[in-house]
Amino acid sequence: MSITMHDVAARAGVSIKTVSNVVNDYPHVSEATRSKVERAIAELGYRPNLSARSLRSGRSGVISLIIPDLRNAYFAELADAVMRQARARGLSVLIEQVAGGRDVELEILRGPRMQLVDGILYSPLSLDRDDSALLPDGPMVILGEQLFDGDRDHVTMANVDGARAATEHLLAQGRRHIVALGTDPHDTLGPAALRLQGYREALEAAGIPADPAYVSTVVSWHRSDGANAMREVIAAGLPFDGVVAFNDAMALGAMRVLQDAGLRIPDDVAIIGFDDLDETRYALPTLSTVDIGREEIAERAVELLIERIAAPGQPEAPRAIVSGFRVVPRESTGSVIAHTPRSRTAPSTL
Amino acid sequence: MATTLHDVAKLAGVSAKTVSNVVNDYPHIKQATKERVLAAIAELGYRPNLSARGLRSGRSGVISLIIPDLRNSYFAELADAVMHAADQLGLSVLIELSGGDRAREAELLRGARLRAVDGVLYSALHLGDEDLAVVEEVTIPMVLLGERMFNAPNDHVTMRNTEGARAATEHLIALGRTRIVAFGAHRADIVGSASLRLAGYRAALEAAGMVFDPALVREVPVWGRFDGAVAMRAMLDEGVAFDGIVAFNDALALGAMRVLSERGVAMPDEVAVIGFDDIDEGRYSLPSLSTIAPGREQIARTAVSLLVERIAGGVDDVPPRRVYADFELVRRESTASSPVGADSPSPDVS
Repeated sequence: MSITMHDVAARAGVSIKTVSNVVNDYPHVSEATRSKVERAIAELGYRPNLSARSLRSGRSGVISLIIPDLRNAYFAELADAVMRQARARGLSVLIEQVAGGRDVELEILRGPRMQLVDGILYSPLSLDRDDSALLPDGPMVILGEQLFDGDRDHVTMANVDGARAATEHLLAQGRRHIVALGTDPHDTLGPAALRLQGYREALEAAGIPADPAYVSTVVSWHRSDGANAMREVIAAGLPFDGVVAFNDAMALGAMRVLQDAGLRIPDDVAIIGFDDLDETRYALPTLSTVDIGREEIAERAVELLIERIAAPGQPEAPRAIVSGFRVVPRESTGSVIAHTPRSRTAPSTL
Repeated sequence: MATTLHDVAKLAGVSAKTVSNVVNDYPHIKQATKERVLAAIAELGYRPNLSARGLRSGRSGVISLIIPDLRNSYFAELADAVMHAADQLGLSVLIELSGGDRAREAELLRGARLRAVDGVLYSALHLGDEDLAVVEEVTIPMVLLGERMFNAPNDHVTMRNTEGARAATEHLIALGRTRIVAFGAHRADIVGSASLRLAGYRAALEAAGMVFDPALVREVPVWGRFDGAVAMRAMLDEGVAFDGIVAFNDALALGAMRVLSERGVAMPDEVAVIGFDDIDEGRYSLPSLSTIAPGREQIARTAVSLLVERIAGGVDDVPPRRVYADFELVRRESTASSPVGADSPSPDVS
């Protein structure tokens, strides 16, 4: 007969709960207790596995984070924040990347591995409302807009208002020919569409007619996409004096191309990004951006998921949380603060 | 019936061992042989199906990747590469962060068998050969990454730290630089990438008949942009004279470059800078950053396939293997005599 957690508890002289705490690697177990339990586990050859453990206790102590890709610095910094928040609550994180198209995304969401985790934090890339029925059952918090029907909580950022504030920041400096960099014609509900909406609202409020020629389309949101899009805008020969890039990575790629083309930032072209990545503080010039509350998003998302895991289906109504945001003016839009940080601005774990 | 390794070997006219070498992406395979094997794999639709095997054997299909931090772009890009390599083999990856904390590094290792993953890829910042006891306790398959443990009873995939740093230093020497800073040393360290890279720097100076000047060795305990900026500001304030910088990673170099720009130091004319890691950011910085590409993709693929072999079993009699990835000197503007423009989008950036 196989060894159970009861056997381990009996051998170690502790409660089953304590064995479970050790197995799940929760903090706040004393070192002495931990080694006692580990010794009993070793002596008995007890070996829980993700699936067996979840069958027995209903919990694996693991949540899944499904994101487009870690190569995108926004998701790397988000994943880092989610993992710190999860760890503070005794949870491990299984990261899955879905930057392979709709089929990959569905395969991962509906695959056997999702049965092994207690809950899922999901940042959708290709799926939308029409796919609601395809989502797996079980605790899930969506990182992003309310794209799906049903009782899915979601935690999102102020995409429309943030992009509007970024655009208004350029307008306030007298910029009138502002390029929107990073739209995606396939994205009608997601961040690209919402940030475009914010850009349009700002122009409209300022009485500037929206000119589709100033809206630049990209394939994905990496530095190389921003660089390519900026090259196309320059090649098209449109006069422009401002750029609202829909994320920092694209803005950084675009800045480099602007400077290669002999355009001065911010004198000839002011540029602002979105995300407040660490590297924006060290770019030349430093990049103005929108801080979208990444830590807050990570913390609230993990909290909501833990609540859903503890009490599935309660509350019935989906909850919607929008993180706070602020415009961070730096050199790329003419801020005179021209120095690298004197103190750490991001949590450093190293 | 499913295609086997032997079918591929037969069609390609090579041994099964050679097919395995190609699948595992080992270096030193003739290009022609490699192409023949890859053609046979494509023709037969061969795909090593480990998840099916895993389900049969009760494996979880999950491997764990233990790294210091995702905020460090090198590790984010490595994690991305590991996940792609794992996905090819039907595995998912549980990423765990040690935060560069020594106790946490040991704790994660001790917990590995409890989390019931099939195997572990482990990159330590602090544990070294003196901690072999902790490593030996790990009873599930484990492959070590990085450069701290050279005597562990495990397969080990690492990069050519010393040779890479030597090539970087020689590159600056070839440009006629005579006062070259070693940027990012850890004096207390006798193992680890900092000491190996410092050894490469010294070897290059020595080979060129240049005097090693301890005043040009700069200690930077943490390898982030912020830390590079702080250390560079201090060097300039102290009035140390130098005309070249071998930064021990790209993040340090990018932080330092920003400060040099703020102080009006022309790069590369007055100071030539080279980093280490080849992170995407360095392609778009101003100036774009010369660097050592340490073979990240190869490290990821090799580490995953070595681990998968150990998980699959049947290689218990194979002694621990050590694989060094091939490195490459990447010349960009920070060490060039004329601007070369931003990199074209690289095909591996999706």
